[in-house]
Amino acid sequence: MKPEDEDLTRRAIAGEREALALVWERERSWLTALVWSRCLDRELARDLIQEGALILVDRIAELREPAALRGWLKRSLLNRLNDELRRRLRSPEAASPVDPQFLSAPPVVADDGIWAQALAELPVDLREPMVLRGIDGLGIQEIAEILELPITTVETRLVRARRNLRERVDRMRALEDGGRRTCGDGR
Amino acid sequence: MTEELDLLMERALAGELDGAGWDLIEAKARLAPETLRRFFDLARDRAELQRLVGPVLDDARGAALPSARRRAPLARVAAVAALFLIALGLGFLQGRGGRPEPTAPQGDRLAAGEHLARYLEQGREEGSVLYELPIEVVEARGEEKGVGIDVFYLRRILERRRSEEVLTLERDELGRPYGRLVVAGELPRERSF
Repeated sequence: MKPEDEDLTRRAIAGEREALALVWERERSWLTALVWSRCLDRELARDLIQEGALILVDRIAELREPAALRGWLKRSLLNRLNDELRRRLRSPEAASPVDPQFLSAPPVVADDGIWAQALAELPVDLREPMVLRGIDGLGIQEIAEILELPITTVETRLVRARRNLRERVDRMRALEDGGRRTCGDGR
Repeated sequence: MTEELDLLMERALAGELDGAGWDLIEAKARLAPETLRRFFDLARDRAELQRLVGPVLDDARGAALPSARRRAPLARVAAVAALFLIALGLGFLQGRGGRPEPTAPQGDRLAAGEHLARYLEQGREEGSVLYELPIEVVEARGEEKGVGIDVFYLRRILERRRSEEVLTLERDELGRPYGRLVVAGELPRERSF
């Protein structure tokens, strides 16, 4: 964290409302992206980020070190996310078959195509830095700080993630093309 | 293609590369033309990723910081009690017209679906019923005799009722639920649907 960022966080911890609002503006993008990279569920990420705002308002005074802010926010929200995902796994609707008469209802999740599918198939440890890299202005050093990893590890994971993603996209495209050709041959 | 070159291109696309780095990429591209292809692929991957992450970041920008919560114990008890009363009130309204009856019509008795249709129609006329949203299936399981399938679902009706006070259900730092009184000024005035 840069010295000016630490100073702002210190003022927010001391109860300065304006500083708190600026801290939140600074932190909310990566926090939302990180939660989303774990669950790939926009609605859930949106709910949790609101909880993150509440946690910040209610409990920032408990922080002793400004440098601990990001780790604290991250752990608070990822714990909440894990609780929610566990709750969903236990709920009866998790693996419920669907009556055909309801199939005409609009899909809950929009189809973003093969890129979204390829991203969803990436292992989480590769997907996290990849998604964070999608935020303009967030450098590798900051990503390393957020993920609490050495810079070299983040760089290696990014390279592996891009290669992995590219291979998956190419493979899905090849499958799609193969399917189209097969359909065309049958005509 | 080396990992080092991939890293250089990664930094180049993020605008983090210095002149020497660009020179290195150019030199590599002269020796191996497939470098340019790789650069193009990386640029495209980056653009696609930003397209996917963009709406999530829009959501983040919409997450405003709430005002500090007041949690006087007495107020919390009163709020939970009020929530309970609201729940009772809604249950009463549903029982009066919104809950489908599981039995078939007998004689002059109306079927559950007809009750519901009347409720919706009258609600629309009075302005309390706005939309009926698609049904949400909760569970489907085999019927006991093995003849059919029992489908459990939620009917979702968007209704409006003007109130001077509303409560939101929130959780404290220990995860315990409590109702928080919301004042009108805290809520957005623009329509979201």
